[in-house]
Amino acid sequence: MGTFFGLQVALSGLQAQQRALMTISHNITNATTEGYSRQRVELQANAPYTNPALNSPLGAGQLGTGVTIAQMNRMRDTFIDASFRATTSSHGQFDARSEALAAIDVILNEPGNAGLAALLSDHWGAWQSLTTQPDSAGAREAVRRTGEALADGMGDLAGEFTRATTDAGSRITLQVGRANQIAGQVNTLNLQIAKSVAFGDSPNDLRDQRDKLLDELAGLTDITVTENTAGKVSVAIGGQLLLDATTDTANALAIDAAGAATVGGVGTTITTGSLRGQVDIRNSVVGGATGYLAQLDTFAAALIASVNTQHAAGFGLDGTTGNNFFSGTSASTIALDAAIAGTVDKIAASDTAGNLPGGADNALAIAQLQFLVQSIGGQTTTIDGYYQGLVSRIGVDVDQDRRLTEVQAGVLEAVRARRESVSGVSIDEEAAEMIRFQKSYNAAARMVTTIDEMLDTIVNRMGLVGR
Amino acid sequence: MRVSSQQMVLNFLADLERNNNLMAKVSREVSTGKSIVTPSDDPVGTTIAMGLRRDQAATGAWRRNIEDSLAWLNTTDRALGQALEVVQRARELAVQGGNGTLSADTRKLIADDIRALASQFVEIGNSSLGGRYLFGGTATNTQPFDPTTQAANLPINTGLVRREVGQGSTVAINITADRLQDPPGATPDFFAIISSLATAVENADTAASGQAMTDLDAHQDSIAALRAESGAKVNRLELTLSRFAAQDIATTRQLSMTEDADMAAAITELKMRESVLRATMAVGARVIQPSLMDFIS
Repeated sequence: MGTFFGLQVALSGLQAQQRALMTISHNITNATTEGYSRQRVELQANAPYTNPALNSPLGAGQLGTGVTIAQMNRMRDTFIDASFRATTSSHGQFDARSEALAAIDVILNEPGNAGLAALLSDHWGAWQSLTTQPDSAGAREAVRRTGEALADGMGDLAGEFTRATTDAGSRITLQVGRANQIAGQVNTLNLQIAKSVAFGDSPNDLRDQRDKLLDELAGLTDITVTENTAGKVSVAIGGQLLLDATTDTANALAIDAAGAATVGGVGTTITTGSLRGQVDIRNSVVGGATGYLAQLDTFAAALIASVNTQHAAGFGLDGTTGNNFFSGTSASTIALDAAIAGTVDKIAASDTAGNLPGGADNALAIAQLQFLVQSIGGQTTTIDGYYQGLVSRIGVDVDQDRRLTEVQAGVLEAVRARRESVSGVSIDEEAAEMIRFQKSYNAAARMVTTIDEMLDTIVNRMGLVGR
Repeated sequence: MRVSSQQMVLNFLADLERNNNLMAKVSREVSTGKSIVTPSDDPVGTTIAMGLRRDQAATGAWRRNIEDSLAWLNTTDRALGQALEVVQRARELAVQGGNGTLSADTRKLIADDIRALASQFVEIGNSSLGGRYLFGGTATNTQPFDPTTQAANLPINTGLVRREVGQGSTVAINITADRLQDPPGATPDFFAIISSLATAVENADTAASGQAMTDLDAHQDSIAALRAESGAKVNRLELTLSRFAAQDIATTRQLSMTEDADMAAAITELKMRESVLRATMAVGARVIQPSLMDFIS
């Protein structure tokens, strides 16, 4: 035990408290940083002196040798992280769906006087009015005008649905690009963290950055994260590795037009996340074979077929028969037939040539199509009823998605609160710790002064008898 | 559970957002007066409302049809009344002309009167409403009777003018020219009778006069039957009209109950949410401000 031994002990105290204070300062300045986990220095008493050996000096032992910082702890619970990522995925899926469907919900304008149901009613009403005055140009014009408004309304709605699917497609492209970008960034961080871990350091802030990126990725798609002993993480989507930690390669995620996902060329399935929501919107909810657009087209086709068949059987004021009223085959292509657009006289109100001009039985038959129960798109219902079914389906979907989003948001809040509880910075706590370390630092400094005075006594005032 | 500084703020913000959302929803309900603004607000209610609106529109169309039909039927009835008077006048003149004490000149005058009735009948037969001939069948733009020849224009159009007055129920509202001038059976048409009656009166042919009077009786019965038929239709349509009126009131009421907001309840909720919002903000402001730093000198 040397003369300056006490100095070393006090010095270790000064250094340790100072580093602890710096860590507290780091915590406080990052109190509002998103994704930051608070750090704690783990103080440990230094290895005591002396070690039992043959040549150890005799006397009371072991003597403490001061304090050292064993580790810079990052307060983070990986289980809560996994839970948070899973919840973020679910929330992302329903949030994406809700957002896309909310616009459609408003555009429908149902129930009300401006929606497609009202336009349809107006058109049937115009045919009914035609039955009372089949030779009147005014009544015929009303039929033509309401038919045109109906066709335009259907075209507009089909356009909205198409726009929703196009938007979803653009979002998918953007988000897939972002996912691949994140994978690359995580790969870079992996390498940096691995170097630091190999060196024996705790790369806490780098880990925070990486976790933040993984959280964002989890919002896009469901991921499984596994960390190996070197500190690198592998990220897998549905069993296929997006980021392979053993080879440090990021495989590209791709989603094709049909919604099938591949990672590095191998097929996989995305079950939750914003990408799942957008793919659902584009390929099964709004677009696709079972989507709203397909149902709207079925509705339009049924209307066109029913009206045209009945209309072609009748006779117009000019004596012609076999004319169609609507042209087109789907909601985006429906329009007035060119002949009808040319002249109202071709509107076939009469059922036979002999009943012109006062006969209105064909107009009556067309007006009665409103209540005709037929097979439309696999359902047995009327034309109006089929459209009501579509509106009901949209309403239920939007309502359900909104509820699920709210529920998931609640769960996400709860998980976030748990994470904050472990990793969040509490200013009050840091302030109290700050006082603690500051006092320790002051005490250690006072210790240095004491030893200095002791040494001063030895150096300047020992052995001065008689001088 | 340890609460970090961030968590306090996050909680406050989440609660504030929730309150704002609820406020927005209620204030939208109050300002639009509707509890269903988009289908997602109440999918079942939306379907019901759409069905009710559809019913309202259909009923409105039928009511318009019925009102138009009533105008047609009432005008037809007046024409039939006038036709009946003409037939009765013919019969009177036939009785008058059958008096054996009349001179040839008087009989000639009576015969002329009788012939004049034919053109009256033609005029009645050509009655129109809104530019359409009531007795013309579906050839509504052609006169059913020719004033110059004083006979029906051939071929007589027997087409029926049908109107829909309820779901799946139609009414034929017209009486065609053949039924007007021809009673059922072997009786000759009105113009033929007039012609033969005039000749019979001129020639003091009592047998022919008698036959003509029998035929005129048949005509009277026929026209009376036509009037009864029209009258029955008018009754049925007026009954249907009043039924539709009552139905419309019920439908409107049900639609209002489904779609419209209960203003009193909505406004009360709005005030409540507003006070909750204020309380949230006041409490939040008090709780998130102080920290230990304020107390360390």
